[in-house]
Amino acid sequence: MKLVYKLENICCAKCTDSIERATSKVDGVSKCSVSFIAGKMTIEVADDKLNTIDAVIEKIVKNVEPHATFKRLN
Amino acid sequence: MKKTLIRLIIGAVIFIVALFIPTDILWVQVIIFLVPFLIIGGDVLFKAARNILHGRIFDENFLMTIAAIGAFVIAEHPEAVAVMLFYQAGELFQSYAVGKSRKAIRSLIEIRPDYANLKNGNDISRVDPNDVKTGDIIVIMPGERVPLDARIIEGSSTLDTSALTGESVPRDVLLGDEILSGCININGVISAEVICSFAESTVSRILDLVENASEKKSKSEAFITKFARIYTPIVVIVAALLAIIPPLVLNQSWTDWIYRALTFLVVSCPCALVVSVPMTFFGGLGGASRSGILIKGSSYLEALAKSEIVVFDKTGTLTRGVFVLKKIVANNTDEKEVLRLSAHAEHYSSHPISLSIKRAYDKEIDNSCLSDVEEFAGYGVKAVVDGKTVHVGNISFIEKFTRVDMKLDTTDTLVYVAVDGEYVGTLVIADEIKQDAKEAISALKKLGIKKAVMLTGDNKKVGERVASELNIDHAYTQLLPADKVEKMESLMQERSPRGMLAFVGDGINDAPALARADIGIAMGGLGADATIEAADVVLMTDEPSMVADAIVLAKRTMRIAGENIIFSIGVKCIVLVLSAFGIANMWMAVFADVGVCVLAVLNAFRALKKIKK
Repeated sequence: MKLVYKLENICCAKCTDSIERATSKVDGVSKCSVSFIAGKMTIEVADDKLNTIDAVIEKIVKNVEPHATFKRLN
Repeated sequence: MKKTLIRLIIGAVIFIVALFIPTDILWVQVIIFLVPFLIIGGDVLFKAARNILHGRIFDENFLMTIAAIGAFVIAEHPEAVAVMLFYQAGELFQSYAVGKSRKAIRSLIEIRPDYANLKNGNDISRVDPNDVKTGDIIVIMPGERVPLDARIIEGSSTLDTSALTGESVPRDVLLGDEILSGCININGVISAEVICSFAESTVSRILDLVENASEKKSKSEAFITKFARIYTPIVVIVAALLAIIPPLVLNQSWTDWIYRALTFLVVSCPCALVVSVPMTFFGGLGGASRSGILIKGSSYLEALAKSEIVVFDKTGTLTRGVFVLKKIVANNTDEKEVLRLSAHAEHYSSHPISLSIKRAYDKEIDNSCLSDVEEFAGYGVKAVVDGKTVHVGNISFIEKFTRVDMKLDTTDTLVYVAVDGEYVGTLVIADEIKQDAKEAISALKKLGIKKAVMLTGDNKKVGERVASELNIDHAYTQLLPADKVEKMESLMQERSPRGMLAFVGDGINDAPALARADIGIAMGGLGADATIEAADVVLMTDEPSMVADAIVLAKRTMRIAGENIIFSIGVKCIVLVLSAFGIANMWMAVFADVGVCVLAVLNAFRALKKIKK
């Protein structure tokens, strides 16, 4: 399933790149794309991981950028 | 952001004061510079420490901390504070500039209406467009945005469609016309019946497209992020070597070389590089949608810029797909009479050719003078008009009743008319070539397109006439929809390894071809859902010249992205070389770093400009 997240307060494009790479490696995530300019992250995730994926991504985001805000759009 | 600014100003003031305190005692110096240093860069130190715990060594905070602490160690106290100050000020300015341009880009493509005026009996209430249902009546005042796709049931007005189509000439709309959400009502008050829900309306579909455009990243973007990943570690390693080898091997001064190494660390942050390229592409996509061209991702901008072969579908793309009466050749009668008789005879027919004759006649059909209508599929019609027997049809139909002396040599469709067995004239009918079709092809040639090809299901004569009129290099005719994909695949063999093939179609029956091409360009806005799904680029109007516009825009974006890549990498390299030779100091390095970023962001902004018509 395709999920879209809104990311705010990310300092630079290098951070979004770090988030993108870390998220791509998460088990069950087949595709991940983060746009720094649009402040959006789009991931393709296996259906059985839907319940846990938010927490996993939140951890990744906070790890890279502690003051970033993070919200699922769909 | 404001808090950071105040903190920096306080820090800067203390720093300037500290510069004028005359003292030679080292520990006093350390303390008076440590105060502004901590005020300015405390958070950087904190972040650096935290990131180290998370195992992120090449983090920019960490590198700046090393550079500053290093400066303290070699007793360059003012340098340490200055580096931190400029770094922080630069970051602040950078995030301000990025935030500003991000907002500007968003607002330009922001066409979402905030509300709809829902009519309920005599009341009008302001509601969320999401709450409006199909069949509801909405009122649109002058200056307001059309919130949902609707059909006018009262009033008339002029609409500004530029947000959707990039077309600057306003469009007049009358009773019964369909209006698309996202347009702005210029003058009249209109009431309209909603024809689809907000989620399915044009505005939502466009925003969906634009906002999801970030998924398909271009190679340049991938390149710059990859470059950034190796750039920082390399610079840091070189810095370390610079600090150790010359003093050890050549027995030179430690302070001098450590200083040069620290300067390296200052420019090791890749942020300026990483932000400028995606920013350019985002601007390019924004500029495209302002010009009425929706592109589904920056990778397609890149592909468009490299297009070599452009394949057009004929009907509906290069031609209007509508038959038009071009000429009437009368034989011993009045031309108007020929038209009147044939329009009456064709009255009950819905054949595209009949429709074109009736459109050309443009007057009321008088039913009372019409009787005994008979249609012969594939041939023509017979009817009694004003008591006279009229035959209208193709040559084999007419020649059953009379001899036709006048034979025209043309590739257009000819309709012959006979009255009471007597040949009276010929109607010349053709599918009209779009006004800008010729210009569209020549513009493509000027842009360096190697081959323009046309595919059509039409017969050879018609297809080749259109192709030669438009200067198209090659036309493949009499193709079935499946043949089109096959032809296109064989054309794909002809492009050079890095070249791209674009297919342009109006979306009717050509979704497979749109999907198969390197770049599928659908024309005529948001017609069929399947088309939008299959296409990579959607042109909001049905002008073929927009294809060239899209390529111009793509090339411009690629050029700006290239400039940004070369410029930011170039300046960084120059600063590195200068500081390795001890010419550039830490201040200059920070300046160069921040300056490059700001210039690159400003340059990226140019990608946002609309294409001039």
